[in-house]
Amino acid sequence: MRITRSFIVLAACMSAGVAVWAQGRNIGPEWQAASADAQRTSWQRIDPNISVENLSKPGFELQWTTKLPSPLMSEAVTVNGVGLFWPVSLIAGSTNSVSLIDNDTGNVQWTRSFGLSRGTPTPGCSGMVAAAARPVALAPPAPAAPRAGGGGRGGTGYRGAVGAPGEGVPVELSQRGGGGRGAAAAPAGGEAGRGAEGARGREGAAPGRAGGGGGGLGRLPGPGYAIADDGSLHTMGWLSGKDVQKPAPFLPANARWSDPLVVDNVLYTTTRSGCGSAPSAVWAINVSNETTKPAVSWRSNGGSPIGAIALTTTGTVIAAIGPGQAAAGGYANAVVALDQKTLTLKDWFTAPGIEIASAPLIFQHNDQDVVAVAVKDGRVLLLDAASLGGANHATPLGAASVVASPPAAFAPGALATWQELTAMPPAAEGQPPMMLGGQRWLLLPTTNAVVALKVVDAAGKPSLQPGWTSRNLGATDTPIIVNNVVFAAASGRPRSRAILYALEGSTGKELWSSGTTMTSYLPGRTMWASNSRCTSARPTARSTSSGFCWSEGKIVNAC
Amino acid sequence: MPRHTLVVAALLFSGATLSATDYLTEGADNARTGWVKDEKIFTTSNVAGMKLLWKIKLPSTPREMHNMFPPLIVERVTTPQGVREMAIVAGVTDDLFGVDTASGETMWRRHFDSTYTPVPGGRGSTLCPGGQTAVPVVAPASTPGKYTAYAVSWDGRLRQVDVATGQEIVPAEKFMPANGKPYALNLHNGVIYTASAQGCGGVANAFYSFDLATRKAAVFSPAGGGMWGRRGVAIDSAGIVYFTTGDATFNPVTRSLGNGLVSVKMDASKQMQLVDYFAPKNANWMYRRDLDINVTPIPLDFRGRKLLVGTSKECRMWLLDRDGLGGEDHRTPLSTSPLLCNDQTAYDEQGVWGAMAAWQDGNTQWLLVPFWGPVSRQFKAPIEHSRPTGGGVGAYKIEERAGKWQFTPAWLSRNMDLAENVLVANGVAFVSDSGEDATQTVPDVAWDAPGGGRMGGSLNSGSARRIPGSRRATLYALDARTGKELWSSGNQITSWSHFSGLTVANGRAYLPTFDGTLYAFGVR
Repeated sequence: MRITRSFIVLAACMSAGVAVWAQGRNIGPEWQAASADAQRTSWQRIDPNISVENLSKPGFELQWTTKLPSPLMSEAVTVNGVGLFWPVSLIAGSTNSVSLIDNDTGNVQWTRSFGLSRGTPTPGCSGMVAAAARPVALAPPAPAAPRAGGGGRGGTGYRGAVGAPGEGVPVELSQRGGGGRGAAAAPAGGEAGRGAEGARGREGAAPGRAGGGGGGLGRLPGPGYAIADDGSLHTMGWLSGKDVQKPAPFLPANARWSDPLVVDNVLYTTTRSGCGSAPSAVWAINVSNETTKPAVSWRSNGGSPIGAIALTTTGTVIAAIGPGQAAAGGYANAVVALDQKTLTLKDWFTAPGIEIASAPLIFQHNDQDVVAVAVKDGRVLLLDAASLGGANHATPLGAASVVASPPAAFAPGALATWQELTAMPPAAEGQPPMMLGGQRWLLLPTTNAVVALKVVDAAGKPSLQPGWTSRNLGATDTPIIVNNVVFAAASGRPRSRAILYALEGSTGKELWSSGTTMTSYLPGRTMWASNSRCTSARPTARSTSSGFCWSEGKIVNAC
Repeated sequence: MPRHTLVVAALLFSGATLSATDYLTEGADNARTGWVKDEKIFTTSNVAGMKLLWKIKLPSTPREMHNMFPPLIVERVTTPQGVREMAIVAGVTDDLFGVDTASGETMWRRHFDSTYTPVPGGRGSTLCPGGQTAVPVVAPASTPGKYTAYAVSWDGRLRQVDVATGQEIVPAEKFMPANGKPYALNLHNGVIYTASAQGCGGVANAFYSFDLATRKAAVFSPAGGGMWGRRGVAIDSAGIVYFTTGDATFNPVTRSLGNGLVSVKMDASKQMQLVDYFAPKNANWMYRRDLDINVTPIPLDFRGRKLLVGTSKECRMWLLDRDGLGGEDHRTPLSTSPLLCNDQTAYDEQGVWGAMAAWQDGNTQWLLVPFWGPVSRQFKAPIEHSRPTGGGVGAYKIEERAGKWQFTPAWLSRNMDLAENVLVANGVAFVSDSGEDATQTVPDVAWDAPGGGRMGGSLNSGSARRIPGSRRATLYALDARTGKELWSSGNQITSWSHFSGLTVANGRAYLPTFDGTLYAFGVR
């Protein structure tokens, strides 16, 4: 039987008994890059609804499923506030297209095709779909706890008054401090109401303007970016997917590129050799100019980059280079540090007998950036981002004992990290509560479980200790972490159903699972979280009607 | 003239006289049902012969996208020129016009003086145009043939104008703060009611009342957002006042009643007191998506039950028991309809934005709902004249089956360009669509399009962007029982309308447009 696969995106959402989410236009956090951020942590620090407490009781359930046109889809990046009020996910597809879906409803807002796919002419180049991108801050802002409660405008609640005869209504109750749709107090003169018409949207956001990635309501971070099969970079408006800037030549055609990252007006990606005419290289293209977009690259002259690059919080580009035959001056089985603008080599780590097996992620320990990579012998290495491998370029800061049987077959973006956060009282009245950081964790999937390692301090250096190992979940992809909850997806490959699990981050205890809800498998890392939703993408047999969505037995927007 | 023609003419004249109707308040009555119960001249048989009787250009200066409001009709006014049927038309720039409905002649114009001084160089916005924004209300005076029009001018003062002459019969009274955005006035038991929206001019989003006997003005703030049902507050036979609250959270714990339906009642001291409130279970999600509850609700009595019907930009209807809005938790309606429109959950261009009509035909309670944008995939009706893409009217029967109330779809109209308001008169459903540019989001412009290279996606409801893209309004007459199109104004109307509406009385239908034209179509 010929099965044409399409793609289903599935979202589960907190929907019951959750007060905080419901307050105001709290639209929830964004998933600003593939693997969440520029450090590729896969960590959504705060969410108003998803928590260990809430996942321990009913209320997290399937909200919608949506069919998309491509057989394989990427992990998404999300943006709040398109049209001011819509939280959306931008998903790239293997048919040389991108789609935008409404995170609340699953409605497909648009699908943009970049033309006929050039296919995958080289064996080994298929099956990988890189994400789209949007501007993201170099370092995530310090997490602040969501505000609880939430009163009405002015916070004093409903009330009434009557004036003296002939004096009109009492002034104190008829003048307001808030405006209409988000407006400040209006001056006498007619300017009021939503107030947003002038400042917020008179001419729309300037194309290419890279914001801080805050994603607050009504603040678009800049355009969306996607790389097409022909290697061109597309700069798209969120509302329609139209190219708002002329597509720029960037990569060789038919390259196999990794999840791009856009920071400070530069888009980064990697290519591996053997796909099209692309070399093994790290690439960067300046997107600040609407008409001219200069690109630079760094070639490994050896192994191919593994997965995507990550950025340190100071802007250094970190890439993992896999095995290969290194030419003179080339690199294989290495971790390299490149200049943020020029991609010139700044530093490297390589050691005899160590075969790099995953892309890097970066976390902070004692306010210093630490690079983590998985290696073929089943361990995880920690490197000082400021001095990879130390003076001899071969000495890691620390390493975990073997967590996977060698030769370990990690996915390129296998690693994830998070830190336990506890809400503290606000420093001053009116300020949001701050979050106090606790135990740091490093997560990685093995062949049938999720392994959690504790990052502990050993004489000022980070080291790894065993934490917990989940029960046998089957083959899992890289987990994501949302507000102390670990989401792990058992892929169900190749022919079974995928299952999404929610685990308590500090113990690995199973809090929730999707059970039989999903009917097909996950092709790879296709999971993201935003707006109190954990969303995954999976292939399934194409229906006679594509692009539909439905809710499961309730008003879909109840959450 | 043949004898039979004379007989018919005499009967028509007789009918027009003996069965004439006044249209003294927006939405036809205190409850804002949109049902012109006493209309006898229009019929489903003769409305197909409706024609343009006259059109006049009134010297009303637009502000932003606003200009004139639906006229009020007084059938027999004793004027210095004799007994006339008069239309009272409010203009946004503090004007009131008296028009002879037979001829279209402007009999008087009242331009209100003002105690409010606009900020020099300041301008309004589409949502807060400034000026007079409330449809007035008319009431008979003590002398037969004399009527008083009550209006709220830009400066927030209450005006009382002699319908016959346009003269202010008493000095303007302090009522509410200046520069707000009050909606259509309602008059019940000697009290003028309105509500203001958008926080315009810094004026609280609240119910406002003015007791004509004591001259006491009162305010009740539900601590919600803008209160902007097109027909203003609705009042039931018990004097309970109902209205919508948009653009704010619903949280009874903090006494915040945003995105809900709220009812108040006047107490003996002439202060409004909270009676009850309702919010749908997804009210705060609706708030986040800007799906305001923005449609004047309709209280109606049917089969011994005191009901209230509401809807919103989300485009589903709620049926509530007025003896307990939403039950014990204030969030459980008697019935909730599936979506009629707005599958995209858009906050602009889709949803219900205008005013519904509820009318009874024997034992059948009808609800006609005009909507913007495509009909929902969920909505199926036994009679469908189209699957509208730009808007239309969906008709329901409100029924009780096996002890449960429900909205039973009945018919779906032809496609329209943003269907706004419905009035039902003698079995004919009159519907106006606005033809305005209702977008509020800046579009993307491709790099290779003229003037291109702009990323849209931001909010912009500004008039300067929308006026050039606005089209033309159209008036339709439908069979209220089947939705069949009986008549259309076609391309006779050359301008569009924004937050205005239509009026029907005594064989004539009136529609004002942005360009200052008042159209009168009819069969007389």
